Amino acid sequence: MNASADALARALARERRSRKRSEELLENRSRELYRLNQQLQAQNETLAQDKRELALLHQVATFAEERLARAPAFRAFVEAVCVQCAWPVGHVFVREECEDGRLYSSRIWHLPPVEDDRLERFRGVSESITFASGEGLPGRVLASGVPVWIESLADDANFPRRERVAELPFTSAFAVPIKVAGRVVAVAEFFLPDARSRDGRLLRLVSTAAVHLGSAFERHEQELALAEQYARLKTVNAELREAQARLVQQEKLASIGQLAAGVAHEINNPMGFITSNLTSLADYAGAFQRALSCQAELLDGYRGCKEHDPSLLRRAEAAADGDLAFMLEDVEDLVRESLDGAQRVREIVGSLKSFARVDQREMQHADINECVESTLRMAWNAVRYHCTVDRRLGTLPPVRCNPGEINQVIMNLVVNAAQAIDGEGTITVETRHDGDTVSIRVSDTGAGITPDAVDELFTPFFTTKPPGEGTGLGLSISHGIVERHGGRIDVESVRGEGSTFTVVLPLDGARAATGFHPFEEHSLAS
Amino acid sequence: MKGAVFTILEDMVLDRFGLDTWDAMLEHAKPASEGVYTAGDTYSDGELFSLVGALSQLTGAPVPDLVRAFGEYTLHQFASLYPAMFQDVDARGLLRQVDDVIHVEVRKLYPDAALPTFDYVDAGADRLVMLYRSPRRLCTFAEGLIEGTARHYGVEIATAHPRCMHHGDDHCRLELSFA
Repeated sequence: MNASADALARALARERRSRKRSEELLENRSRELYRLNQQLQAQNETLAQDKRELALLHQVATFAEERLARAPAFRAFVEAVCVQCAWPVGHVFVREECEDGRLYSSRIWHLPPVEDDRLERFRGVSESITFASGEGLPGRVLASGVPVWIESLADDANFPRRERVAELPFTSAFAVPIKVAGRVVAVAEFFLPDARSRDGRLLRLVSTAAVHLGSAFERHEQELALAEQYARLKTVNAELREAQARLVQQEKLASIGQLAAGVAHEINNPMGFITSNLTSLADYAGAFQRALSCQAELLDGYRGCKEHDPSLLRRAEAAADGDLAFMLEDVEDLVRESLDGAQRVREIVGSLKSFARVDQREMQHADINECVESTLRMAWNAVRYHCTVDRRLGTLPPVRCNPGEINQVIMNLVVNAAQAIDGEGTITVETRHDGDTVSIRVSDTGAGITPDAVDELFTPFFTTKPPGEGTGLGLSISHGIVERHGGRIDVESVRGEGSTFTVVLPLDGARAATGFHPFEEHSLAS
Repeated sequence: MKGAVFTILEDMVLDRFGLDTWDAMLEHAKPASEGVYTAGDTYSDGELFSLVGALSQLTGAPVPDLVRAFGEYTLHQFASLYPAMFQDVDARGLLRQVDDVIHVEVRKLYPDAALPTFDYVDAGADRLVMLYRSPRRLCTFAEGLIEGTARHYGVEIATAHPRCMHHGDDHCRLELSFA
């Protein structure tokens, strides 16, 4: 196809213009691409920063969740900020507990892994210096409660540490407060070798992280306070329950005591005239005997007389014959035994009165052996059918104690020992004087106690007995009594062989008598 | 309209009729661009219509036939420029994805391109209904593209055109049967 030269020339001209236009379009497109690329890079950077910030906040939230104590939390915080924000040095000042407390170094640092004498000097100075409110970088944060940024430490008028080191290894710094319940408790400061102008975004980020940290402390401390309060309430509650149980028991014993005292009084009266009458009866029996022997002599004399009446003699001999002499002899024994019996009744009644004397709360010098004897008499019924009681009572000095309460303790141990024995067995009660203490050991040949149960023995309401047989209060009350006397109860037990309870009491008793009578000390002293 | 359309038209005229005819067309139509076409630039739709009108006058061929031939030639050009687009797909598949795939690719190269839209009615494995909408009403160009497709794949496509924007319809209905 032949084209005209003119057409070719025009086509060439169009091609050239078209190429120029294409190049122009290409350049425009390149410029556009460059601009877009720049924009993308900026967005990337923003995204990376967002990511770092999220990572920092996440880290802070994480260790806040872990309920770290303050020191490890500060360490984690400084480390997270330094790593995520690329500031090489971080340090925490903490505040003294008092109201206008100064800030002093926590010695918690984040430092770059390089040897730098300037950094070491700065660290030494920072750890030895303290700041009042308004002083230096941390003091300014403490005073204002808001972050502070120093672009040039060399030009800052209020940075006292500068004068104390030959050369500062940093140019810029910032610090943020860490607040708990609105109060600044610590100030975290960060340093950078390069100059950096105030970065509002960074300050906001680190402040936010610090707020998280502070509220985590607040939450953590509230939880601790709550737990402490709960524990205290629990203790108080347990004490109340124990006191209540003790009161109930004491009330019970007091009623029994009153009853016993009444019964004892009622028994004592008839026992008085029974004893007196028996004594009279013994006198009378003597008189009868004397009259009888007189009569026998008379009869012998009468038999010798010639004018005696044989039928009278027979009747008199029949009356004096046989058992009468024996009866008269036996009356003596009967009366003596009855008097012994009456004496025992009086002793039992006396024991009952002394044992049940719980209303008597005074400390007095008492014979512990006497307590043991009177208690054993009282416990006789629970013990006698299947147990042998072996008494090994030593010579004891008087012990200052509340005898009623000590009786209660011994009674409890003896009854427990009797109940531990299934079938036949022996209860050994031993008293001993040892220096300035006396001890009462109550051993049984019973079932013994498991080690688990030994730990629980003195816990109120703990019992190994079947329902209805034990309240679980005996040993806990005994423990309380012995403790108030300044003594202790020890337990040894072997499964299948038996248990030994040892009560050790100081001779002089405890100065504090019972928890129920706060004025007793006073009245004793006066 | 994108400059690419004009450079393909120029190529077709140079191939089929020679430089003198293209020169004469420019002389006749006197486009504002003076015939300096660059693929990446944009020109008024009117230039294309007046160029095709000039070609019709110069050659005596009716405008719709020329537009259809231009469509077929355009497909031929596409096939040599973007062979990947034609692989792994048959004639029906290619036409089926004009709107979803090909026009999406076009926008990556020319974000400001004004493109027609196609809606589809699937009427069976060997049938396809394409609903064409464009303010330029270049449905004959679309027919040329379909013919070019048939030729490229060596198949026969019978096209019916029962509704047309040139006859007052709001869209053109192109009913295709594949043999």
